[in-house]
Amino acid sequence: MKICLVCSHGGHLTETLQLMDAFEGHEVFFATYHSLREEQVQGVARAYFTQNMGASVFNMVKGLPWVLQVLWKERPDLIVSMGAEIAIPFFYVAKVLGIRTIFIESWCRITDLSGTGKLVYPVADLFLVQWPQLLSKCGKKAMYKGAVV
Amino acid sequence: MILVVVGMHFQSFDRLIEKMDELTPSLGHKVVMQIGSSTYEPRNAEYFRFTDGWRMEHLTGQADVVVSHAAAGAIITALKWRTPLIVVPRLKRFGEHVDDHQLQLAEALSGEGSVTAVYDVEHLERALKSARQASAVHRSSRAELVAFLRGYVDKLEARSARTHRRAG
Repeated sequence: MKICLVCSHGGHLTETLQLMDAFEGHEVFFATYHSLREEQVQGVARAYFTQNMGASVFNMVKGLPWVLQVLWKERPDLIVSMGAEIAIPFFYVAKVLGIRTIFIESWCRITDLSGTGKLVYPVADLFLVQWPQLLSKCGKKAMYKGAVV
Repeated sequence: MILVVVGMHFQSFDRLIEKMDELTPSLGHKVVMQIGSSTYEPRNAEYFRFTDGWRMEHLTGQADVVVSHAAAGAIITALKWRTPLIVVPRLKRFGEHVDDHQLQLAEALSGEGSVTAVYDVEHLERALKSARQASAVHRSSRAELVAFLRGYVDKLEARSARTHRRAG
């Protein structure tokens, strides 16, 4: 199985790295932002890098060709993301292309979903949260199965 | 050594950087700061903007105390090294983040006793004096999450293998 791990370059990357043993035995690659952590990422798996989209809708739209290019070239079976906003274009393009998706809300979200979580909830095939008390704020699809910490 | 961490977030966290720089001469410890996108540049403390993951790990492992924004990355790293941790949540009203979710994390973790939370930087000096005794005590549920995900991915793979066999 080919798995694409999508994350921004700070805490969301640190959270993703906590889960690498869940994907052992599968072909994994990253899609993340340019940063001084590129070498660290490449030490774990192959990686594609792009400019930080921040929370800007304009940058997300501008980033779409890169997202399409990565997914077209790699054709992953599954996309896994814990945010941040970089997950939004990936999950919507994945929906169109029929690629399965798992969104795991960041560990830093306890009483409210992130903006990214709310936006990808309708299209994610599996939606996990890392604090049980957050379930009351989500739809029925959301599940709690533990945390990265 | 006291390590100050504000992460990769695109907004500044001058409130914390400025206060820690002001306290530096009187702390009796070397202070090293990762200032990220903050605009204030420290005069007393040693600082850098960003670095790679290994250096952050190394510094966190060496530090006597970490003072960080209340974000997943910095907290995960400090818990891993069992370094005493003071978190100061970034707040929306100061233009430090897009919302106030760091407040939730600071409250939850200080409630279970894993970290010391400071909401007003004027209380940092006092917190620094007591934080040295504290230690991270978070009960991990990582193994459960990893096992669930592994099971889910394996099931997906088995299902797609069956579909391929039928198609073939």
